[in-house]
Amino acid sequence: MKGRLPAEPSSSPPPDDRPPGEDTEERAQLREALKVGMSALENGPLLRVELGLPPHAEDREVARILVREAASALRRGLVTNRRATRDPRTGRASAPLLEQDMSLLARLGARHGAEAIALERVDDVRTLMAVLRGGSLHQRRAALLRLSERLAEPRGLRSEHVKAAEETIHNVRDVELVYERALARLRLGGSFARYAKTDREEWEELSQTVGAKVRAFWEDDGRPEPIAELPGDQRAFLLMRARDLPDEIVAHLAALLEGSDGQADRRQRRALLGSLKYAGDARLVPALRTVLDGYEPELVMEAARALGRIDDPRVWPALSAAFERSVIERQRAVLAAALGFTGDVRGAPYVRKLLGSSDPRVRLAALEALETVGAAEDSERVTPFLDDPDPAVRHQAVRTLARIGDGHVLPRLEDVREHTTVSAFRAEIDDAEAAIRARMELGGEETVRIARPARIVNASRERLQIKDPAIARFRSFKDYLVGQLWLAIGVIDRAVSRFESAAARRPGWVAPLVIMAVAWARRNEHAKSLAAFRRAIEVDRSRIERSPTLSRLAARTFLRRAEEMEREGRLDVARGLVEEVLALDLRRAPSALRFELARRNEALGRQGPW
Amino acid sequence: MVKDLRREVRRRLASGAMGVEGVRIDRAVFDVTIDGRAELVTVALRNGELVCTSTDGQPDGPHAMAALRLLAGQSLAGTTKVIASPGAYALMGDVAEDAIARDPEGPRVTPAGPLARVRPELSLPPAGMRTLSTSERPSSVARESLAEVLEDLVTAIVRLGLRNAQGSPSLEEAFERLAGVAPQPLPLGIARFIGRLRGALATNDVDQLAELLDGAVRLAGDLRRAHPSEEGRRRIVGWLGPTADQPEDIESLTDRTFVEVGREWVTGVERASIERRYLVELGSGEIFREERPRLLPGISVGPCPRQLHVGLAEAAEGPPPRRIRLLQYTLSDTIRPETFARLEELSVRSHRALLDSYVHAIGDYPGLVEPFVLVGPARATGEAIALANVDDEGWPLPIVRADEGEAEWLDRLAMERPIVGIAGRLIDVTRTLLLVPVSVLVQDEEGLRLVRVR
Repeated sequence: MKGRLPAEPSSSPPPDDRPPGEDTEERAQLREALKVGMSALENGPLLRVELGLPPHAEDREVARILVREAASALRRGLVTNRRATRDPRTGRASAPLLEQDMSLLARLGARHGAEAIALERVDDVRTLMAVLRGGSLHQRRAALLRLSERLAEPRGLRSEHVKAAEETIHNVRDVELVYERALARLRLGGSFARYAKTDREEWEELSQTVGAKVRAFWEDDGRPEPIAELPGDQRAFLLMRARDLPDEIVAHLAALLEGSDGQADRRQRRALLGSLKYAGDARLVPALRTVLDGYEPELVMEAARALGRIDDPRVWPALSAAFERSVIERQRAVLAAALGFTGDVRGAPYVRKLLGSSDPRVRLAALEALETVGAAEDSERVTPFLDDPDPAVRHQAVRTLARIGDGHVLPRLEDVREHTTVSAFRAEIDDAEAAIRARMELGGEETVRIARPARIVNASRERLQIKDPAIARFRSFKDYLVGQLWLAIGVIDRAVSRFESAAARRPGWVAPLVIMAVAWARRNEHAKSLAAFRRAIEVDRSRIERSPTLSRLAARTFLRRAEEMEREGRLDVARGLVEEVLALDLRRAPSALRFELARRNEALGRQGPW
Repeated sequence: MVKDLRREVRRRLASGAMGVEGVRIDRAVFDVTIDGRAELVTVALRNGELVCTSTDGQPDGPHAMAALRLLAGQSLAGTTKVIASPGAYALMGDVAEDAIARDPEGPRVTPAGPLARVRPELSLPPAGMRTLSTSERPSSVARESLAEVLEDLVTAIVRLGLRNAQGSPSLEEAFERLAGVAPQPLPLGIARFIGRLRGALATNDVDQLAELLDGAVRLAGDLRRAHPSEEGRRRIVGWLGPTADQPEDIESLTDRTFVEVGREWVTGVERASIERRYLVELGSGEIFREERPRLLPGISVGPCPRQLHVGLAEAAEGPPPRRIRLLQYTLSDTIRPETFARLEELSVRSHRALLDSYVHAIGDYPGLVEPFVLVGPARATGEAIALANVDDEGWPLPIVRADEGEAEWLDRLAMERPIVGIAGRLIDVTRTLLLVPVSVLVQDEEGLRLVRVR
């Protein structure tokens, strides 16, 4: 080294069988000098001499020669080494902070820890059904698939268990499980599979149409972006099964998220992120991580929500790093919730503190986070939010209590259920009770059955019980039949006139109102259909809520009308429509519709239309 | 200029030096300068229709009209300067005039979109190396001040040492001075250097620190020279981009097909603030990079992976992968199986050869170069990729495991299906060459496909 400048290497060094990291004396000296610094180096003058400089050479000159020597030595020392098969650095700096819980539910399908039990090995149908109701998202997904596998080969299963399991799968309404439910129903065979197949065919048709438009969009400048063009429910229908989309459409979605399409603005990217919340597609991880690494809090939060629901090893490190660097309360709460999906509960103490925040949006985010990181000790903190004046907070509190699964809150939930008049809220509480009981069952606890009060009958229903005079019933039925005839031959105005007469004669009879609503809905006359649906709901709400077809049509009508209003810039009206339909018990409506209504409600709530 | 060009073309045609029999040329590219502003104009015949696009996005703007007038044999305004391939001009002249004459409404110009895409059909020879006009260059650099600040930065770090440097006030001040004296907006070379230097300090990576500081010292030396060597000039341009007193040599690329094999966000002055896209040119196999600061325009559109048919692009000189600017292109999100097969063919199969080129690259451009490669592992399935990424001679190229999630995902993928190629950035850690994977080429039931890692 002394007195010479390093020669640039002219060819690759010979293969070196020294273990990686082993230095020559020369390199070791230079590395040490760079590590400790000249000011701390006791033999500074000696270093100058070693570098071929006078003992009192200026620091600047020493630094210049030192780094050149060190870099040159490094290049000469680079090797390909048969033993160097791994990155010499240690692995991850930190590991997920796991909940210390040895219960069956905590161990079922856990990703980390020696005590994990694979759900794929569980054979007991009753256990699987309980996990499906009360487990975490990843557990519910795995339980649903495992349950359908067991039913596909039902040897050794009791017939009542098979029937109960089939019914359970059929009744899964969870929007987070749309993809798994479709797979499960296909496996079951019979009428379940036929429904699922029809559904699948519709989805494939939509996917092909969108695929062709995506190709045209990239190949021909100036075409509108095809995903943004879809009606909300169709977009949700397409994206909730993103895992089956062709690579080209997924790459297109990734380009939109990354802002590589040259068109989508921040608001559109945010709306797309919201629509991808339940996509669960690992192919989107790179693009979602790009958004997560960005600097726009609203986009970061949406990306975190979508990422947390994807089962992929790249998700945890990205969320963990984002959580550690985040300083915005609401964003940090959402990141804590997303980490909770991966089993990491590090955010629990932080979000507990946020429950006392003066900002309602922060409180809501904290409640949402406790859904995944909360424990039984949190139920007392969450229960007071059941009386919150904001319905969004009340709904979230019920969902959080459902996932915490503490049986002590059941009487309180019953009490709230008894006093609410909003059927959607009642439905939410029903689901929460089922989830809590399932968790208690898995924990070996006794589930206390509380006698339910008599079913609440609304005033309009009572009106139906009053018998109309026979002549009125006869005439209105005749009008109803004639109206149907007009409808059959497509003369809708005359048909509606007859239905109106029938409804006027018997104000408590819902049938003419329903048929008018359906007729307008099928003609995409959303405003007229909406009015008829409103009257039908007023007369007999449960008739609409209990019928999957009517429930779907009503939800779609309200959604489409809200979209029309939004396009006209009448955001308040649109928001009112969405809130109105969300007060109904829509559990029988398709998941894509319910998801899109919830997403749009949130978007309209922040004045950010699609 | 135009008269000279025309005379030269006629002379050469008359001499019979250019055999044109059986050749059909459908497109010509012109570099038109009007009042100091240079634009590239492409004139093409598409299905008999004349298409004209210009890099200023105005198909009927002055630059485009100058090119059309030239083709029609009309005279040009006094200050207009046109540079074109002489052969292209001569051969296109009659064709274009015929096309214009046939149309009763006169020349019809198809409007191009803001991206000025055209569909290339037949190659023209590249226009060769081109120097950007003065108006396109950033302001000149205070070379002496920048050299001074760089040397101060190096001295501050060497005085403090790696262990004490991070977060020290003197170092922060040196960073601020560097950002202050560098050209504005901050060149991506400098931004990336600051990001990497902060990273080396944060992770106590003494080897990377040495390389980066060596780069800074070399740049300072080059800046101080009134007439730097050719390598020095390239280094200056690589760090600072073209400047008024240090122009950049640009190679025009025409009619090439590229495949984007990966994209990533790397740290600049701020975290994840520079977007990079890596494009493989299918003919030569050379890998290029598109680069931009976060969410700023100036980069092509499209998903990843994608196939691009580039009518015109500019490749800058500098460290590999060379920086490219796509000016006219069409793209497809569908990549044909033979394209994937070509990528597999192009992948490097000798890890020792990679090391050789890596050492050369960091020797030429220390602190600046970040080589990107497509490697074809001989064995990368049935076991964890980290243990199996070896070449035909059995030399491994370990996968970086700094992001344990990515490494685990890759291991899982390798267990499920054969990995036939890995695209990634080369780095060295503790004397060992490592690969930062960005995407992988996998074989599944439907054939080869490219999967993004990040």
